[in-house]
Amino acid sequence: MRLSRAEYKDIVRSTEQLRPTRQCMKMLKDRFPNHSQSTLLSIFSLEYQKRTKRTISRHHAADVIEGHYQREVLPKKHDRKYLNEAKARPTAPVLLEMANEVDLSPALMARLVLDRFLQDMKGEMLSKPVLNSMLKDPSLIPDQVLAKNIYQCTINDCCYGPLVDCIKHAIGEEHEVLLRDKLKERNLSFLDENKLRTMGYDKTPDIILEVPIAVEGHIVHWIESKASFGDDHSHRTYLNEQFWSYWNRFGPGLVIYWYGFIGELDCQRDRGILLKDCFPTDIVTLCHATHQQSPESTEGGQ
Amino acid sequence: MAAILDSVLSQRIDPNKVVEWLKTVQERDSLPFTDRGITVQKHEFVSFLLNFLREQSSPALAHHGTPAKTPNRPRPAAQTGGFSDRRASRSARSGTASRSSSRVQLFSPSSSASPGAECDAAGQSGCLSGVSNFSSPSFSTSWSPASRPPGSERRHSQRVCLGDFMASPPDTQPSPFQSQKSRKKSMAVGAQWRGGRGNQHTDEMGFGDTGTKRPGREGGGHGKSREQLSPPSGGSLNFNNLEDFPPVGSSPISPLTSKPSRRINPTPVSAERPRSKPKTCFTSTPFTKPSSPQMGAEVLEGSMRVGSPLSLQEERELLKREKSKRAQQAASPCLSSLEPCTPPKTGGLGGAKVTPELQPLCPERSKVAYAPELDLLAELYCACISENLVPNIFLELFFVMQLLTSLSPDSNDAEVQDSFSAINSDVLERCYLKQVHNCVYFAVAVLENQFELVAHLDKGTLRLLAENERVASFSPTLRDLLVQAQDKSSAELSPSVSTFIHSVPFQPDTDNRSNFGNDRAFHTFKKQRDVFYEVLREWEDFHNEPGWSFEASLGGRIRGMMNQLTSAGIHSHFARLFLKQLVQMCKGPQMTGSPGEPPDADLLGMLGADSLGRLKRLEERLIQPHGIVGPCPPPSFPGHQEFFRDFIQTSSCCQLNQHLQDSLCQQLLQLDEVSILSPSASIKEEDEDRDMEQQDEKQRFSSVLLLARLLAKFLGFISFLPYQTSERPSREIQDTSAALRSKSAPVLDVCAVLNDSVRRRRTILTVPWVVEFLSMMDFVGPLLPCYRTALGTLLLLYRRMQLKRSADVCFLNNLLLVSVLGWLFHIPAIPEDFFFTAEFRAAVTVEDGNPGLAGLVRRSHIFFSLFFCSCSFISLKCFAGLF
Repeated sequence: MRLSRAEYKDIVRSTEQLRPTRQCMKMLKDRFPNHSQSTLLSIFSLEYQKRTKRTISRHHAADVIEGHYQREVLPKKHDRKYLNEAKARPTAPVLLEMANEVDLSPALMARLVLDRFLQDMKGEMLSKPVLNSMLKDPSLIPDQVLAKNIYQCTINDCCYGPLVDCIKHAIGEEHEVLLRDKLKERNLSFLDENKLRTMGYDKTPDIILEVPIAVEGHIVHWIESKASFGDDHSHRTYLNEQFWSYWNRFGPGLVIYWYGFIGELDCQRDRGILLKDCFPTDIVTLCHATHQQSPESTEGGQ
Repeated sequence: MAAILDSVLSQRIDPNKVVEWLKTVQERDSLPFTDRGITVQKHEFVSFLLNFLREQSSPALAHHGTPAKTPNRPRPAAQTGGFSDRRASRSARSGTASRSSSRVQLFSPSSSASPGAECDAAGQSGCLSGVSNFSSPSFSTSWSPASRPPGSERRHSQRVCLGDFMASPPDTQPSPFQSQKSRKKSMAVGAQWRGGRGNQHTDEMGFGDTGTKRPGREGGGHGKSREQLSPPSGGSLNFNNLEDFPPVGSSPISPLTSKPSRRINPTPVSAERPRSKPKTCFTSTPFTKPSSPQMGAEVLEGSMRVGSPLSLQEERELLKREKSKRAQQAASPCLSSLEPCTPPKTGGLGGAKVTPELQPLCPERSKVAYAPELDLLAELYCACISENLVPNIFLELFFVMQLLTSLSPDSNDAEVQDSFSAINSDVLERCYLKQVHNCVYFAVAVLENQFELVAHLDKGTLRLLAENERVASFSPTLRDLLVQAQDKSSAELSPSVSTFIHSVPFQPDTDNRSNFGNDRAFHTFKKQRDVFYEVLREWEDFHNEPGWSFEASLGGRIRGMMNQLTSAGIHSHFARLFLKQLVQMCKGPQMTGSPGEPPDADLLGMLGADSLGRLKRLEERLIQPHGIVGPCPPPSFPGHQEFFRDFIQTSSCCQLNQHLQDSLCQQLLQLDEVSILSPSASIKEEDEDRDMEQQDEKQRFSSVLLLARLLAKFLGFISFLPYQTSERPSREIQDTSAALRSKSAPVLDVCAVLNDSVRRRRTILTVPWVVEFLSMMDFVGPLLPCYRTALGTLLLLYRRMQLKRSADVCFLNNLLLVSVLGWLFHIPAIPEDFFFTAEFRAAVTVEDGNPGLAGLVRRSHIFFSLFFCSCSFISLKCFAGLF
């Protein structure tokens, strides 16, 4: 879906107060019934990430972490009242509530607290992989209550956390498959990323067409699939790190933002970077062109 | 040589004999004159003739219309034809004298004079050219440096003449005079393609000036010269008229000055008062200062102008001009068609007095004096052109067009008398080309004679010529021929193609990890490739913005790249990328001009518009920087080439340059070997197939040729880069440097390449790129034995390549070679005496009896569009300004 900047800003404004929860997503969807859920979620996710980037530092400060941790862990250990309460309500989402309270992503809160917990247990910083594996699979966490809390955080966060990463990855893959299917459907031959890597390419878009095509009158040599919304920030980053590099090596190409993009960003068409929100329908191939031309030219002759 | 001309003109010698002599290819280059005991070298005669014509026409083209000679430069007594006499007197005449003022002085020095310094340069011209020291004394300054007119000067002149042209034709009797004057002046500036010495020269020869008055030099200062009372002197100029003399480089004329106050006052205007005040004398904005040094002198001249008492007259003039302009607008469509049918009567002057406003400024065939002599001159001149005895045929064509469009003072009776009375004096002292009638007559005669050449000009120029009233009135036949040629001409200037950059594709064979020594090199190059394109894109976006500087914006990043490349030792990879990108972006036909503007389509389009509007727009174009180029612009890097040039300069990385050179040499030599197929009669397929094949072959050849030229230019640029100096070094430094440099091998054995190419009849491919290579030479380059010999070979080729003798199919082949060579001979780095020195003839032996010297005999590889791509300097742009 191609949004004008005004529409996009409108949506962004409504996300400002939202938390990364299902309820909030529902609210957003109700508010903008004409936009697809995926687009809204993607926009929200990008916005929420920006918000988090702005604020995360204050959650990372040691004393703040200590505060979270104390509230979470110490009562269990030392405060009989809290422990009792926790025991009385062992399924209560204490950590999740806390995260909402301080306006931090639940998954990030879980990571902070788990990290602190493990430091206490082992007395030293643990390696990231261990931490990540525990976040992915909370059953590995020695403390059951904490494990449960962490799990609750993970599944209730639609922007961060291993679950979301997994979903995003799957969606990305899915769209790449979708793209390849579409290309095969159109009988366009191409090299995909894996093939390109084995050939030693230093930068690899998702697809390189072995024979270029024309989309809406623009030549396309490569296609990059992005299962997200294209906003200013992400597009700029992609341009610098990926798209221009592709252009530098393979010439003009096409980027598909499956969840839409800000229409105004599609301003590099003449320079060789074309944006679409779906697989293009207006494709002209070389054989097409010759087929189409011959009847035209005879008409012209008559 | 003067003797020859003298004899021809006074009919003591059969002109045919001279023409025959000019046409002989034989070694017999000298023509013995038994009757006088003088032997004349052919090239000496040619340079004399060319200079004679320039001298002759200088009043018509001159801007110093001041009809007086400086007292300290007395006109010499009538000369005999003797060379030494004349020479001496000339030098005496030119107060600044100088070694260089030989009879050939019109062609002389100081191409290097900067536009602004023109006056000074003119004065110094003699000593200015290190060149002249270097050459044989008698020809020290023999040919035209003109070719490289300082840019602003040219623009200035073009602007002026165009503006005048718009206004002039229907001007009233008095005002034409004014505009003639200014036009004349402007033409002279334009005419200074023969050298920066315009001022000196026109001063000194104040030719045919009727000894009226010289505007008071004593007038002094710029500032006060404004509003002075004008003595009714003929032909004085008002330099305060910003419209006639727009400040060089100034922004458009301020509305205030161009719209002076007017009063309608129906005082009858008599034609007796022709030397009217220009309109802008009377303005509310005082003229503050001359905007260019060049104008300084002019203001001086104009200082005799005096102001207010005449302002009423001025206003009337203005009014008349205004009226006539309107009249013209109304009448213009039919003007040209009417003229040929109703040739003005000789006695038209009386009529003009009655209806001054309908009297167009119109050269008349009936007013031509010395017609037989002009015919003779034209014949000799054409023989020189046809025989490639002139350094550059297009430069001559340009000169002829200047004559065609010249504006000299309409002969008032006194002057006519004066010039006719000169009949008795030396035939060489007569004023053959002073009157506009004569100029046009001569120009038309030459154009007719050289029609084959003219017909190969581009469509736009042909159109300008065909629509020119003067052509029509002097030779309806020529006009008809031009119209036909225009219809036939396929020489449309194709607008340059898309401005879209294409990148160099990543090739796993050459670009993947296995081509690099280590991972670090691989990843460094990955980054450098991206930086390179980032820089390129930024250049594309901003290089036309005012105040943008390549060095300031990109210099740091580029040198950073070079450091990275050096530390990773991957210059060769980058050099390959760089050259591929260069080819990618610049191999196509490049017209001069920046990539942003589709240059010539626009210009051509204007020709279709209504006349006034189109002239307006044409004028606007012409005053833009680079809007106009003469037939011999200095070498340049148009379009994207500029980026690559600046990149090389800014990076100043010797490793990169070495890799580039290696690669360029290899590619060039490969290209030079490319087979050029001559489609033989063996092909018997259907015509269509053969046609297709021919087209393909032409396409292929054209791309090879253009590519080779591009690569050669850059090879030359890089090779001569270390030696480039902004000015010609002194004679001693040149010698030392030449001696030093002759010890090391040149980057490319040009002589071998050339000789081989001549032997194998492939000059059509080789010469154009060798010319590009040599055009990049520094000042010492031509002195090095290897390049000197190569130049000699080229000169010899040029002289043997007479267009008239070319078979039809080869005409364009030869035209291409002749034009690129002619262009090369005018490159600033080439010594100015080069063309007329004879020393090469012995040095080079090209096998005679090789009729195919010029390349491939059987067919033309050059077609119009390729020709104009290759010689973009010969196009509408260079002629349009004259019309």
